[in-house]
Amino acid sequence: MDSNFSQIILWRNFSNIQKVLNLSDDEYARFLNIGPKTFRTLTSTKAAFPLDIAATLSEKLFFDLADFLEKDLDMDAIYSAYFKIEQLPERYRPAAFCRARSLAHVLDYVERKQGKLRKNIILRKFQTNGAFFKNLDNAHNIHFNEDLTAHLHHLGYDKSDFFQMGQNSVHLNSKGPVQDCLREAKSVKNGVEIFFECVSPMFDRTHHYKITTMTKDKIILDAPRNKEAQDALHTKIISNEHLCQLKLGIFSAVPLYLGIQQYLPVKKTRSVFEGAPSNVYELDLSVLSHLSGISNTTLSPIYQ
Amino acid sequence: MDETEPSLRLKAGRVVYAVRKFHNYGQMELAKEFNVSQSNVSKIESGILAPDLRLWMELTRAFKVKDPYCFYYGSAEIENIPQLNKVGKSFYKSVGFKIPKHYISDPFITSRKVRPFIDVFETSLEKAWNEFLADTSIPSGIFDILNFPIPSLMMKDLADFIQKHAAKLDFTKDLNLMSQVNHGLLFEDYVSASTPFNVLKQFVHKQREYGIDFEYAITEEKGCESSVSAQVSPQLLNIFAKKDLATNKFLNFSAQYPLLMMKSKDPNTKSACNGKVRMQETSDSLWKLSYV
Repeated sequence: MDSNFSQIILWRNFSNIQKVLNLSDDEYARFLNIGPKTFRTLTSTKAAFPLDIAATLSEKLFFDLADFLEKDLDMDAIYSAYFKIEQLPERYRPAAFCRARSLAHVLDYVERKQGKLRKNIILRKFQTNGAFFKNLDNAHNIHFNEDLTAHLHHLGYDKSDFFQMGQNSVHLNSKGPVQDCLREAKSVKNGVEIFFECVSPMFDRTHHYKITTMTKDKIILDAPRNKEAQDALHTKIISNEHLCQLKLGIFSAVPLYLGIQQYLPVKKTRSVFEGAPSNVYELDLSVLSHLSGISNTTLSPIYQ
Repeated sequence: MDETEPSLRLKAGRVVYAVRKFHNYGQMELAKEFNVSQSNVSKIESGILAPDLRLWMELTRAFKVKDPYCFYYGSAEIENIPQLNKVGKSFYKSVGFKIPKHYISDPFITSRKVRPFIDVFETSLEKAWNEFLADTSIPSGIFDILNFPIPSLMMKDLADFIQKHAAKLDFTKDLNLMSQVNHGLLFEDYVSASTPFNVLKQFVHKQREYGIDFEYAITEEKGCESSVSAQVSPQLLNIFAKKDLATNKFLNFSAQYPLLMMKSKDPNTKSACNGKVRMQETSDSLWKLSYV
């Protein structure tokens, strides 16, 4: 980007932040940890913008340093960050068919893999911090899931990372409403049914999950897009390949959600990205054959 | 900008200096290329002045610095540095750092492994360290490029320096291996939060980021006792006399990295382990390291 142009954007962002937060020069200077004289020098010359001041601002208001130079920041998100309002930027708020539960394990994985600082820096790309994801029932739209996973992929996260994130989702859900629901399970098979009937909407409702076949060896799961979500989002395309890997990881960990220390082999056999009317997943139950509860009990009516 | 954090300016300045030297740019050339004054480049490198955000972003991009947020830890990784096993002698001639000719040799560790020691020297042994750098003509900037391959003969001199001054230093207390956590080297799997043994496993998995001076093998896993054998690499044996292997403090601590990491990750309050690292020589080139 042309450097004059980037300076214009930077100073516009700097000035808009002051306006949206309704800060006097002295208050803004204090917020930046600089004295009034330094502030005056900085704003009157508008020549250089010191990295240390930019870093302070970026840490406090959760934005990415490159974005500060390259695009108009979302001032609504700046306002939320300053006043500690736990909401995501406007882009991620309408058609909120996803719960924070659908991404909290992604952020947890990033923190474990690269540390808290790196996780926070990644989140700044989306003008947010991790606070929103602490309440696993907070709602947002699928664009955040798409954007975050695409960004992580850009940073080098691969297919196996996303799959592992999904598998490890169980660690964040070992207590709370997910477990409350699964506690009702009368058998492993019933537990799997409950998982797709009651638990999956606790992650996201952009797709419906219907068990079409359930034998002692396998489950076939049909996952058409939720028309309501599609209409609300004004898009035909929901999700991306990384989110599919996340989902496969979660499906693989269903036995762990039920307290059985065994991952399931899983695969996607049909994909809407390849023109199919819905995604179809196959879960291999044969690895659980030693467990008695998986035998042919009747499917609940909702799957018939 | 006296009111803001000086350490950030110092760290950013170190990075600017190191990447400029690596890419063989003079201060004047850099100033011209990025449209700043030469005196400002000098002030930035000394930590007197914070770099302009635009300059910082353009410079980190142009010089292929992997992480533009590296000002938080004051060292950089550069994208196009070849892997250790692919570094030839021509590499040392191609970089801007003036590596003395007699040091040019195959590397087997990166600066990442030495950097925690350098941090200790700079804070506790500043005068001797600066004299050593002046005497040997080793460019200090190479230690700020974390993936810079350290020539093995240079490593020998570094190890001798450490040995000479070891009595004045307390590496057990001061060596901060966790400072590198932000480079993504300490990936914890979900079980590892409470088991230091997983830190060890992860180190063994990630050790190529540090270079291979020791080949680690996990020998047993029982409760909170863990042990690992550290086999000295053949390259190391070419450089050090066998008698030095057991006594040299650099080698000694370098070999214990994974266990020291385990120690620093050990949540003492939750564990019966007392977090002690034991090192026992079993043969000329094989050590048994235990964490108890």
